[in-house]
Amino acid sequence: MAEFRTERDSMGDVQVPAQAYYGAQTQRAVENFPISGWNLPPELIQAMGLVKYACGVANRDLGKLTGTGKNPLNDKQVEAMLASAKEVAAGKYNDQFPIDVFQTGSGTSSNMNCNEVVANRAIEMMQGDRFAAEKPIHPNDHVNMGQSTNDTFPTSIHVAVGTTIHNKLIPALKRFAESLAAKAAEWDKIIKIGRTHLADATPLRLGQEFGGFARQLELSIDRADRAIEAVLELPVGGTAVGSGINTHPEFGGRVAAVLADETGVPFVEAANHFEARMLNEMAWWNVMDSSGQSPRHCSTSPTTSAGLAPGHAAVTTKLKFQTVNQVVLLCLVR
Amino acid sequence: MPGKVNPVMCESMMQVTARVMGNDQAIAISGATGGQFQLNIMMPMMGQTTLESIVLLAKATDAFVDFCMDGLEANEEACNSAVEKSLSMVTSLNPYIGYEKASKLAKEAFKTNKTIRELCTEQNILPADQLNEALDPFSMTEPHA
Repeated sequence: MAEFRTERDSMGDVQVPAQAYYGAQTQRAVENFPISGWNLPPELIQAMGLVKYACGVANRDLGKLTGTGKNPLNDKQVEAMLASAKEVAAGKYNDQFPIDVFQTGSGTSSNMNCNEVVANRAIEMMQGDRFAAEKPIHPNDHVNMGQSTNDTFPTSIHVAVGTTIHNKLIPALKRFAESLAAKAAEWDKIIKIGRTHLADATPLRLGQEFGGFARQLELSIDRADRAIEAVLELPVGGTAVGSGINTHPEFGGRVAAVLADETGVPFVEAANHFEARMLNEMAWWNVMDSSGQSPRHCSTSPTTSAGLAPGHAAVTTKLKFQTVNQVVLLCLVR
Repeated sequence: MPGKVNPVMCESMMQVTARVMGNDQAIAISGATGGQFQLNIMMPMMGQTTLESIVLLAKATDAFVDFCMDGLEANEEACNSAVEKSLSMVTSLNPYIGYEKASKLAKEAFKTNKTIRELCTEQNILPADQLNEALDPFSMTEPHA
């Protein structure tokens, strides 16, 4: 079997790896952006798959996929497309997303990559030829139906960020907080010297100090929760510029509802779709700033930690523990 | 050095936090300059960077809890010794002997490398039971009415 297959698009022939699930548009982006060697993170790839699934469900329920369009699908094809998107969401095709992070700023290349993989895998599920030029389940007409990169890609980022904070970061922070609280209780009777201005101050109990650290982690968990709030409103439904051209008025709300149901994170359609893309940057600023920690906290943390570090003898083998703790606690979820 | 155990989990965590702070700067710049009319044109990098930070923090926190935090033990002896040797112990003598005398004691302790307790005992500053009460560090860790 040949190492490459030839695909054709509006710009001409492209050599695509023979067995790839992606097609011409993805391959062009791979060649255009030989920048970092970093691919999109798996959380984002899988979120794109889940968003495609949710969009497919909404389009199916609105009768768009099987209806009066130029190229309607039958019910079996619709179900294959949904199953294919679910496989991408499960991470089965993470290796089929070879485009560099530093690509088109809208993420169009990666969105098309996802459309191609979902369509070709769905064709394969229908016992079709996924390498054929004819696409009975089409990357643009069906998988990307009712979407623009400018709503579906940032929606995927929101879903990836919200679910990753919810599923990975917050549980880790909770464990950390519990561990610190357990040490605080265990060490409540141990006395240590306090340190201020890098010098001895009056005594405190080691348990008191670690109780303070535990509280810092509890506050970090609150900040992580607020960071999720900043990504709950989804741009999907606004399509290219927020006007919702080429999509059903109920589409955004339905997609958000499916995503909320699938993830357990209460995603909703953006209250205002022009804000959701025009002021896209503000939302991001909120995510990173919802900690309430502005950069000045970074400058206070070395002072605090330096003040504590000379008291390191309080804790065996962990000279830097307080230093690290301060930095971590103050900077978490920035 | 044979047998040397280093605080490597802390060092790993500190590198993660530095990276996350750098990532934060990349996001801030993307927010400030990437939003152009109806599109932000820095989205793939913002998504990658934000997720990198979240995942790094989650994994570093998990590893830190597993391989450092849960196994932490207090060195009670070192804690006590630092308190006992500290000149700050003189603070609690204020109500008994006054600020002036307490200051002198502190300076003498510093010069002679003796503890406040040793000097008080040598110089019979207070009866033994009263001295123990005054120099009880636990009483210094909470407010008293």
